[in-house]
Amino acid sequence: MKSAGEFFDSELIARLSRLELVAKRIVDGFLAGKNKSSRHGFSVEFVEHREYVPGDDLRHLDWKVLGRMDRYYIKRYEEETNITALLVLDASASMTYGSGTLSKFEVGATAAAALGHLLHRQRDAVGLAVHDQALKEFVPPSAKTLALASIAARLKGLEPEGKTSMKEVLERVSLQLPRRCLFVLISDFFVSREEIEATLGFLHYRGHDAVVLQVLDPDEREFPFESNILFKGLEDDRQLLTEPHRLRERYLEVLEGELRHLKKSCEGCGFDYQLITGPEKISEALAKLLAQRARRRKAASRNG
Amino acid sequence: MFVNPLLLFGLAMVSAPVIIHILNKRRYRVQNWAAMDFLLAAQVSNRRRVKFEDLILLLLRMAIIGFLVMAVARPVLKGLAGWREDSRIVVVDDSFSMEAVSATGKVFDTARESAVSQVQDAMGGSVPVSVWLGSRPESLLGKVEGQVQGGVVTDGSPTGTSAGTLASLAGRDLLDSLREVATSDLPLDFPRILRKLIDEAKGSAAPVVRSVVLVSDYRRRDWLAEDGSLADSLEVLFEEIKREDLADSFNFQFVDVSSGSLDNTAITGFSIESDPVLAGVPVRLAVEVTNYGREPRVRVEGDVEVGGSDGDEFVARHKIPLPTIESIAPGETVRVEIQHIFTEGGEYPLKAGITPDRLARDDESVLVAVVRDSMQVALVDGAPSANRFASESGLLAAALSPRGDVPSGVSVRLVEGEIDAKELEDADSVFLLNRSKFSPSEQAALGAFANSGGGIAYFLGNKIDVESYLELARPPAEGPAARPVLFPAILKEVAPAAALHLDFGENDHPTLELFRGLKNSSFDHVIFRRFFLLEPLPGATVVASYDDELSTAAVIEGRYSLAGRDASAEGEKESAEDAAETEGRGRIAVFNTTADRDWGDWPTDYTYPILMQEWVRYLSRSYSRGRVSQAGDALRLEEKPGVSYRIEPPSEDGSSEANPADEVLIGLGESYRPHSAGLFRVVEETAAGDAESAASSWYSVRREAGESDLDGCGEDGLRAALAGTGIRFVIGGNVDVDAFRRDQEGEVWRWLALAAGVFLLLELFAAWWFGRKI
Repeated sequence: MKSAGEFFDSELIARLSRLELVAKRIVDGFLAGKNKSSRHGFSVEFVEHREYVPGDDLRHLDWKVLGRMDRYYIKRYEEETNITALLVLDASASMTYGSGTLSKFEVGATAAAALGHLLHRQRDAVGLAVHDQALKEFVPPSAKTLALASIAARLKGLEPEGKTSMKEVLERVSLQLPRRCLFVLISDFFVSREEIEATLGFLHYRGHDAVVLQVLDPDEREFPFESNILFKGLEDDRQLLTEPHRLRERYLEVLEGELRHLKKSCEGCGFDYQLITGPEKISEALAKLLAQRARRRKAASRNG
Repeated sequence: MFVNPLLLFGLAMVSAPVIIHILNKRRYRVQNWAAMDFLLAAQVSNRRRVKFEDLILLLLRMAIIGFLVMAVARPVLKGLAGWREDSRIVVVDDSFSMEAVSATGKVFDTARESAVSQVQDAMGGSVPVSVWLGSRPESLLGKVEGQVQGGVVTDGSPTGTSAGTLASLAGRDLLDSLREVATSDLPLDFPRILRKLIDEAKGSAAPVVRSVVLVSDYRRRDWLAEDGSLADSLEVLFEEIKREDLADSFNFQFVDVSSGSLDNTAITGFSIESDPVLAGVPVRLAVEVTNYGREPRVRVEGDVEVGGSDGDEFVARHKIPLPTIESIAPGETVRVEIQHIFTEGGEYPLKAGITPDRLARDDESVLVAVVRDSMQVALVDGAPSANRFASESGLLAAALSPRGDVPSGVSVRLVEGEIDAKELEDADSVFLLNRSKFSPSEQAALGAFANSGGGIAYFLGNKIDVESYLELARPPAEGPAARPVLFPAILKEVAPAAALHLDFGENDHPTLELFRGLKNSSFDHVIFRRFFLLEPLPGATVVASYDDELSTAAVIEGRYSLAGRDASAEGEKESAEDAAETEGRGRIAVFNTTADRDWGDWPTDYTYPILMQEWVRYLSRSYSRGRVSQAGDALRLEEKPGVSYRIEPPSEDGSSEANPADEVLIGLGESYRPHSAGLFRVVEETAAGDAESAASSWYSVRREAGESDLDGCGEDGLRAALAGTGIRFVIGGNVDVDAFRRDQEGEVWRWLALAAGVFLLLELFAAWWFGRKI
């Protein structure tokens, strides 16, 4: 297991810092920042007028317009605010698999730490939830400097085990989050389609934004095995003796089907999806993710 | 039926792929895996296909092993099986025509190499093999039986004496003998070899299949008749094979090594035309040259070398150039003559030669001339008279040996009283003049004389006892007096007196050569007043007849061995004819008149002495002819008690210097049949070994002229001729040495091996297609 400091790859972070992480949706914030608030405030920047309707606060009435045009208009303002992000990391037994130097869990943890650091630099509140079937670690979102150290400390010493269960964990965590959040789900998503749909549906229903980072090992993506192999399940007792090269084609078909399903489910909920296959792909995947979100923000701005 | 049935136990190996498949399942490594759901989903949908692919691969691999095991076990399917081979008989054509040289070398060298390959292949396959020489079927060149272990011993001494080693030694000897064989001057005699093989097959209880390989140049005259069908001598034998149900006992492989070129010019005749040869009398030597090629041969030059009459080696004393032959058309024979005078009596070896061509040996021919100082004539007068010019013998003696400066070459001796063999011993011919009858001892003496080649002439007259002459014409066929006829006609009564002339017809008889083309000679006016009525015996020739209404025979010529004998005396007849051809004439002539003027005026005519001398020459025994024989025939050596003959054959390089290693000693009762042509020196050796006084003679041996004809029958021609014989055969210039054994296996094992190869390719393709490791 890597130390907490090791999760913060300076090169990786330097690359990511050139991009802006902008939430697609406007969420409520309490720190000044570049993220748009979900509510129109009155403090900083005028945005538009609208006609007065009974019940509006008269404090926002534009008296100059009333004097010139004898009409009642209400002034509207936009306030930049920070987001609350929760890094949700899968620590089930399936995440222990790794063909190279790092397991999938370590790759996921690295990605989580990188994103946490970036969010923190933007003065966003960042929290951490580590789970398998149950919630194993939880760090409430905070914009304080100590929050990052706390996240790193919690990641240190974790041993992935047990099965994966997302929906129940997120339901439980969401109770502790007072506002709508940005959930960063980091997992191999080796769960049933129903579980995936239920989890993403829950977040969407509750108005949360989400980024899905699926972590796979190159072996799982390419299935490069040749000779007779007895495959043993990491999360249960199932096993299979087979000549893997004769199964490769079919296995890859099944895998591609599942990946497509996950991506489609994400798109259905308006969430971002990115696949990470191995440690060397982390930077590339996060860069793609941020670029993807930037495009979405611009598109949302054009649409009002 | 399998050649190696025990190897069928190897079929158990077809289970090997299944066992390997099962064992393979037990060898695996363990891999922890996260995406088990996906893996199991893939496995569920793939399971049936994988099992099907496994089954196909297993079946293919089992089939490959099965085919290979079957191929090694060598099944022989009766329906497909071809030729079997239990023994191989290699016949190398060593006849004279194989001596021809083509662009690639001597034809016989090619044949010998092919035969060596055949023998080596047979020994390699442990097939008993024997080798025959095509022109010398009387003896086997060599034979190898049994399994040759470790190959043929090439040099050094064998370390053991096992059967395999002995076979190996025999193989070495056989191959050495084969490599040293040279061509003979004999024709190919394949029918005699085939005759032996058929007899052997008929006498064999076991069903043995013999592969007969004949390596030859397949000349047309050896194989085909004029109409292109198979030669009778072979057709009869092949028919016998078919008739005796022996077709399955023989395979024939005809290996054609002919050069394809026909060009050859040869000396096909070399003879003395003035036989017998007398000292001081000019003789003509004739040389015949035949062009067997398809292109004209121009400017053929040659010469005749005359050797000395003494010495043991041929040394040319005279070299007489032959007239240049400007052109010889294809198929044409041109005859050229030269004249020569032998000054002394004795034996003279002669060699005629022309410019050599691709078959040089037949551009030379040999001859031995035995030159006599004179011809000896015995006159037996039935009515002797003191008056020399009144008696028949007196007139005839004067005609045959006239006094004067020009010798006639005839010496006359009168025989008085009983004729006995001793009196005729030195005579070349005997004239019986108006002799009434002959006692049995005289008949025996005359018979022995004629049998040795001496000529007999009868002059009839009024003293003749008809019954006695009928007895000469119709001798008993059996009993002590059994002998060929001594008189070639049936004597009847004396014809009525008349004045007739003698008609020699076209004058084509050799004795009339001087009169050929002569018009109105005095002979036409000679009157004959009396004569006997004669009926020639079958086979006798009427040389001249009278001009009466019946054209009564006036001169009849026959042979001592004349017909009139039945088939039981066939052997004797052949022997006598043979003797006449080789040692002398054995001719018998009847003059239906008297030798004096009693019955006609002929003795007063100038033609009388000339014709009588010609008849003496014609009837006299020929000494030179006895010295000429054909290769393959026995030399005519006189059997003398206590005398054996040492024969010195000519050396193989054609020189007359004999190689002592080739000398042959022939004892009493033995014969010597040379297989090469040339001049042979024969030395008489007595029991006392008195070499200094030993007499020696030259003998010339020639080959059959037709051997120079290289016209081949061609593969198609031979195939067509053999098509109807029902024998199994293959023909070709380069027939595989294992043609028989390959067919023997019916190609079945090859097909099985091929099937194994095809299935292996299928397995590789299927494994690749199924995504398996190859």
